[in-house]
Amino acid sequence: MSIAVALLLPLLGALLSPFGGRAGVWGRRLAPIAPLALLLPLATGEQVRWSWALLGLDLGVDPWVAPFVLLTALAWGLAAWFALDTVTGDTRRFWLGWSLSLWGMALVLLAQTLVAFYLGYVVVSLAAYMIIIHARSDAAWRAGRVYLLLAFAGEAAIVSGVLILAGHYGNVQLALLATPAYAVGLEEARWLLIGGFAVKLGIVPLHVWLPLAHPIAPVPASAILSGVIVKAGLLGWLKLAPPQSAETLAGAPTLLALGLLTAFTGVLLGLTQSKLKTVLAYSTISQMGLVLVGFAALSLDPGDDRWLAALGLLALHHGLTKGSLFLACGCSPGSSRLRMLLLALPALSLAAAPLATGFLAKAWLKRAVDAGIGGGQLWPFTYTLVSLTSAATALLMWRVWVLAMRERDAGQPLHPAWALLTLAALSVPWLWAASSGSLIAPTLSNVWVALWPLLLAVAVVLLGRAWGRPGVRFPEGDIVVPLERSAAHFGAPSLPRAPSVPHTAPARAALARALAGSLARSLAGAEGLLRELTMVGLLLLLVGVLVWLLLWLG
Amino acid sequence: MTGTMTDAMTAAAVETTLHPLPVVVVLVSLLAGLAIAVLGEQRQRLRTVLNLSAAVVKLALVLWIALLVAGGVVPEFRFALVPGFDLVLRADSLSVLFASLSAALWLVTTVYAIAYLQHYANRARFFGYFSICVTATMGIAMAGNLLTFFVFYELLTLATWPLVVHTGSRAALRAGRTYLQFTLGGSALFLIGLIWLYALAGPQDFIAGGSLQLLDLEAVTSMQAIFVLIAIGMGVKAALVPLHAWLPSAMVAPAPVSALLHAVAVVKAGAFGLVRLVEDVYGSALSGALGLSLALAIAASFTIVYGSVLALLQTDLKKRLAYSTVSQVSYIALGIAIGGPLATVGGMVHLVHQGVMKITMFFCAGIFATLLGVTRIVELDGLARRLPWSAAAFSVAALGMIGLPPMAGFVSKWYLGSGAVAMGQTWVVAVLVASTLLNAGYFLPLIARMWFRPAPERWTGGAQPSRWVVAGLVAPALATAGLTIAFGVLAGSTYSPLDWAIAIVREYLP
Repeated sequence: MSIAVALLLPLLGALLSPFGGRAGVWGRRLAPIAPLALLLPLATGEQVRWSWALLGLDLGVDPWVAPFVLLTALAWGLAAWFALDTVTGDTRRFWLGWSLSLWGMALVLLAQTLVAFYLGYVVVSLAAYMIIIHARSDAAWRAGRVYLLLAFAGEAAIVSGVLILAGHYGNVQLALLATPAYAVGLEEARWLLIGGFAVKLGIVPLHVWLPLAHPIAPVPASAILSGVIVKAGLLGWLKLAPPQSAETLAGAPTLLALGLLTAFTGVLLGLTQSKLKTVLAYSTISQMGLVLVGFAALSLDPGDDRWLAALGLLALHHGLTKGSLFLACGCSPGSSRLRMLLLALPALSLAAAPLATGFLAKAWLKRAVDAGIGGGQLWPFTYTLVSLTSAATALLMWRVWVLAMRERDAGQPLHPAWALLTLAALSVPWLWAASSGSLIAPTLSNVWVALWPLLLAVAVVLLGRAWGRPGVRFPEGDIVVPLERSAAHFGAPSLPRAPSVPHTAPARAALARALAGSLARSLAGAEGLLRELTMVGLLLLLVGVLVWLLLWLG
Repeated sequence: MTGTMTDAMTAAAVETTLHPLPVVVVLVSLLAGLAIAVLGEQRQRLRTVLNLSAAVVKLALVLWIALLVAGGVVPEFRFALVPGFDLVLRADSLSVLFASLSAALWLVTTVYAIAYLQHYANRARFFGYFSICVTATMGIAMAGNLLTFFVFYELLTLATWPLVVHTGSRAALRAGRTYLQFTLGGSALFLIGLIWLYALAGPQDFIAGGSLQLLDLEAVTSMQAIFVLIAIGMGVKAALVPLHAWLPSAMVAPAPVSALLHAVAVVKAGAFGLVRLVEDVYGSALSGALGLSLALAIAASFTIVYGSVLALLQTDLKKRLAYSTVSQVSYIALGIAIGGPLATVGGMVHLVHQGVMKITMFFCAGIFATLLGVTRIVELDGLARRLPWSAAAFSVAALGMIGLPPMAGFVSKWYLGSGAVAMGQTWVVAVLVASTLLNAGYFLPLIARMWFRPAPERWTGGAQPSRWVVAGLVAPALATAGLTIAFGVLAGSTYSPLDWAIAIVREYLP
């Protein structure tokens, strides 16, 4: 019953929102309540098996998924409240996309069979498009286009992996996938899935949709995209490609390296940005690099459940904190002392400042890495590098602070949802750790480990002030810009683009275009010939003779 | 997945009983068709009543047959054309799958066609042939041997031609000529194959698991050649590349005809014929041993990708849908060709799933053209503001075509892909993924245009028909879109098409 309610409320919201009048209003009013309904199955611990639905949906909250459920309920609910008061324009489609995304996310959280998860993931991926393109501006169309292309590239990998899993085990219970018996012959599926879900998390070089989509989406939409929806990718990894206890994932070192690369690349690219929300988007990329580091550590030491819990804690901390930082963007954080405080605290927390929730999450991440790399003989610098990511994040948060202080529009009210989400970000992860027995005591050594990267960051900022910042600027979405240019040469895919995008085509581009065009024309020409029966007959005869020759020779 | 129906079917021994139902279900439409032709053009109200009641009666009869079959009875009717050559009409579970699809979609198409053709000339002729078409389709569904199948297959070819050329325009006549050239050419090869087969093995009924055995090695080449000949005959209607070219040009026909051609009648008859050929004549084991399955799988895969690429190049809505059909119908042949329980289920269930999805899209294309004068893809911008319900139906069907859950198309793709992996043919997954991406590439932009682009100042044309006509057009589209969702969401429940297909495959691969 509790699960049915948690799934029906967002669906009802989605079905009502597109209508005008009273129905639409009710659909919208459901939006802040529906996420909270997810707490019901968490509280009751209900498990259901709907074998009539699709190919069999098993739903319920696994213990390790609980922090994700908590995150979704709090961040999504508060963001919905914020959105109710701020989002204007084509609200019918916005709320449809919003509620459908929540429905998909709820399925992703509750899924215990392959089909259930895949259903939720597809829904959340497609529905997010509707909230990304809400502004309907050139930039929004572009962000939506890049997002969809990447989402379907990821989808191709994911559906391949899912079908391979299904071919071996059918609509499998996801919990079984983590057991050693289910590891046989599935390396390819596992890699396809890891690669496919990496798109959602924004692992470099698949990150380009985040810095385009987050700045252009409405503020609360960015908050859930960055805070919650990207975690669907992590859930995909953990549910569909879990590290098995039988053997260490052969590619774990590669994943670890990729995670660190993503963590630092995100910060470096983010530092060159001049829009607040873009900087925050790059910060998410960087943080998801840390998530990948944690996933790799779990793969290296899959026997220990504490590292799985550590990933949950990291997701809970990041989701609430990043959600709060994004909501700040809609409340002119520079316009009063209180607002500055509400911005500074989660920013410090993200940089893992002592006693903040980031400190807790980072400490657990470091323990996991330490256990994973077996004390550091294999990769001596890894542990230090993970510590340094805090310094890097601190630098990025300094950039956030500088940009935020320029937003002093006193006319913008301080929305209570922002304040509440900030409070949640500062407290809920601690409460969760207390209830699940994973507190970390702020001893002197623990504090020092968290403190020195911050001091390092302060030193860098001071030095930077003395010497001046390097004037490098990367465009939003960095490598997507040259890619788009080369795609334009070959006639980009026909996803809807804004009508006013000007095209300047140099001679080389014109040649490439002509080539692509002539390919299409010759295909059409061949197709025209097939309309003549004699041609078809001759062709069949030819194929027949060829086959016969091959058989005769073979 | 074990529903009560499945249990009943395996528990009770299947017994063949002499029963008039298979003939009655064929005759109902034939009589209705003749009556409509005799009534003439003016008796509009009577014609409508006759049309609808015949469709309803037929649906009821098919459901009756379905209940019989689910209870383990196989109703059969046979009489000798000439001594030794029987005309056999028999309803096995595979017949019921195809017959219930035809009967259900025929009913909605009749409603749609009555509304759509309000201002067309020669409606008596149209509905007369329309009913004869359904007669032929029923005959194909119930055919109990290859000879009977051939008879009704030819009747279908001939009865469809007047529908394709109904408007009598130059383009329509040209399309009709192309259609006849291809289908009659295919039939000729089919007939040669049929005679050769009877000479080799004698007349035999369709039997689950195949009636042919490889008697001696000498016969291998003949048996391969016979298969190829008959498969070409079927492949023309199933639009296997390079035999598909008649289908896109037949787009000039009125929308209800296109809907029918693509979802139930002609294209599906070809695909159904391939299923019968592989499963009931050769048997999937023999087809595999002769290397024929692999050949068919390759041809189907090529068709899937080729059709999708060409669909991407089209700018006309109906043309794009036509090439999409070329691609999607080959899923059926692919599933049968891969073999194994899962993929066979996937192929068979796609008979139904592709039908409901594609008929929805053609209904909507017809609505867009009639009400707003929209025929090209660029004109779809902002269409959802004017026709939200039709646009929603279209979108649901398109998402299903891409194979996204929870629509019906996902269920097909799941069974095809996992079945291929289970048979060790992982390359098929690549074909399915390529098809998914291409489908997304040519359908998502349409959805995005309809829902998110601004509408034009005014629509180019189209009539302003009465409320009843609009309802008659939109309701069928909504009904089939609803089926698209229901067949996906309720796939796991008893009496879903999936459940039925699983029951069929239990018979074939115990």
